[in-house]
Amino acid sequence: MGLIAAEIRKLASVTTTWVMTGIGVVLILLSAGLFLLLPEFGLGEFRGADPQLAFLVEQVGGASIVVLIVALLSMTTEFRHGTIGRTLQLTPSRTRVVVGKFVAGTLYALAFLVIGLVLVAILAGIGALTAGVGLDLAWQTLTAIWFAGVGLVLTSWFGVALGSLIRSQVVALTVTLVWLFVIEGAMLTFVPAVGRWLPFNALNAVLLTNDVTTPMGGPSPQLLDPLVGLATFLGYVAVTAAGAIALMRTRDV
Amino acid sequence: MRDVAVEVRGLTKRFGTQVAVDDVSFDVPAGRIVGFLGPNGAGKSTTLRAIVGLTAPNAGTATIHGVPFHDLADPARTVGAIVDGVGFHPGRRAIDELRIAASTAGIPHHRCDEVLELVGLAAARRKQVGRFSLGMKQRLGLAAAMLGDPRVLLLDEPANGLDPEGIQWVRAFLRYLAEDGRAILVSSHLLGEVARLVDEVLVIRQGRIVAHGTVDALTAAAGGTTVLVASQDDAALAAALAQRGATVTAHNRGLRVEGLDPADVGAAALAAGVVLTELRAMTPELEDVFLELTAGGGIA
Ligand SMILES: Nc1ncnc2c1ncn2[C@@H]1O[C@H](COP(=O)(O)OP(=O)(O)OP(=O)(O)O)[C@@H](O)[C@H]1O
Ligand SMILES: [Mg+2]
Repeated sequence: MGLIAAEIRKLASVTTTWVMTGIGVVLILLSAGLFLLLPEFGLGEFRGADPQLAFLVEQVGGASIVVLIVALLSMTTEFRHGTIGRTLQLTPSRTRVVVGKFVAGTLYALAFLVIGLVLVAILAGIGALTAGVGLDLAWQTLTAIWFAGVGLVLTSWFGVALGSLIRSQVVALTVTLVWLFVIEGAMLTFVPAVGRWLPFNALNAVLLTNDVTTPMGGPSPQLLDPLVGLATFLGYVAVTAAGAIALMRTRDV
Repeated sequence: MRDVAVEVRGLTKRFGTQVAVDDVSFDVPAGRIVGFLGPNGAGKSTTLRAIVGLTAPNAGTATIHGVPFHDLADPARTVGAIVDGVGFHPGRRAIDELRIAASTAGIPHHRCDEVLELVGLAAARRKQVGRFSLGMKQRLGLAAAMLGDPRVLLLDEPANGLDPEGIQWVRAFLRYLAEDGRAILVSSHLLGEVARLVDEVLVIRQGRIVAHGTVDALTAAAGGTTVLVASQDDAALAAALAQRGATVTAHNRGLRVEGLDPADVGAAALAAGVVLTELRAMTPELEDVFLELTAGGGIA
């Protein structure tokens, strides 16, 4: 329990966490807000319909990069500033240290989900009032919330694992972002048969499940089926997490 | 049998082909301060890091009260350490760093303010560590090490980079900790820095322990105390000192005396009726000890 409390304080006591969360808030407000304000973007006239709400919820998962970076930094900053040494002196079991990070990442991911859902609820509320319609919250929206939650939690685990495997903060961030935005994007466009099986594209299949097909957003036809994507991403997370724990247990700090 | 706080046996650590620590064995008895001396790269930090499990040794063991660090039930209350490469997040406030450590170790948070008080950092509790001076960071390191009020302390160059006032403060602090009967292993480059503080000295060189004993024994191995003396009649004093068996050579505007301790030099001056204008005892520097140790046999 103390370990988890300490991990939460580690996150809360550095500015980066708050700045990243702020960026996440802006991302969600921008994307959900734009879809509401500009029907021609693909959401259509807002009627408060279930698929439309689900689509707005997906904008929370769309900001998953924030959870990824916060989780990754939770590990790399420890190496960067040498706080890992004290962490390990106080908790000699290295497995426990990594698991503590997974739990803290989970809590952050869930907190981010809640913040995102509140933002979306406010925007949807405003949209409904303006349009004079009610909100038809049903299974599609609930499914989107569930996938967003699962996707964000797994994202945080992936971030922690990557941060443990690539300890250098600069290298870890650069490699992850280049991989995410350049390599996976290019692979999905040019070799979709392979690209869709890559980790972040598999994750996107989880986070962007809604079948509101739009010119700007919505699921790309290239992506895997959500559940297949989930299983695939889970596989990546399991392998990297196991690698992270194994490496932590053997490496000098 | 003496109660052993830290026991190191056959500790060996290689980095690639380089042997950083080579079959090192020693004890730190409970209630004693042991100085761990050696030049840059001798293996001091590597040894301390291996004791607290941050570095995995290639061979050998290190235990705290008979238990390897990994198996300690309550590490924070057993051993406190300042180790090379262990730091603080510059963006975090001092009190947050300590609270994080306290939570991890299951120590109540009021203890954080106690240890800040103990090291004289109470006023800086809400300051970000990145804005701390080097001396303040060292103090914060000591505060963190003292959180669990451990009976064993491993301190890697706690006075490193400090100004004379800071060094004095660290010395006084360690003496205060030792008076409580704690076992302390404190590393340093300089014998002079710890000579008056420690009960015994371990000298490490190129990964090997080359001497282990009391400061007096080490000093003797390095040729005894050197006394620098000046007087109103150096010729008469030199004769009196030579008569007592000292080796006397001219030094600046006075004499360099080897083979007598300061009290004997004073007594010789008194007997010869010579007025002393200056009397200074020089503890041999570590380098001198090394020269002596490599020139002939060491002391055990
Ligand atoms: N992580 C590492 N990788 C490779 N070599 C290392 C590593 N850590 C230490 N060494 C080497 O091991 C040797 C011992 O280093 P160590 O830091 O233990 O010395 P030290 O006695 O603490 O020196 P100093 O007084 O400079 O702090 C050095 O030659 C150093 O270069
Ligand atoms: Mg060192």
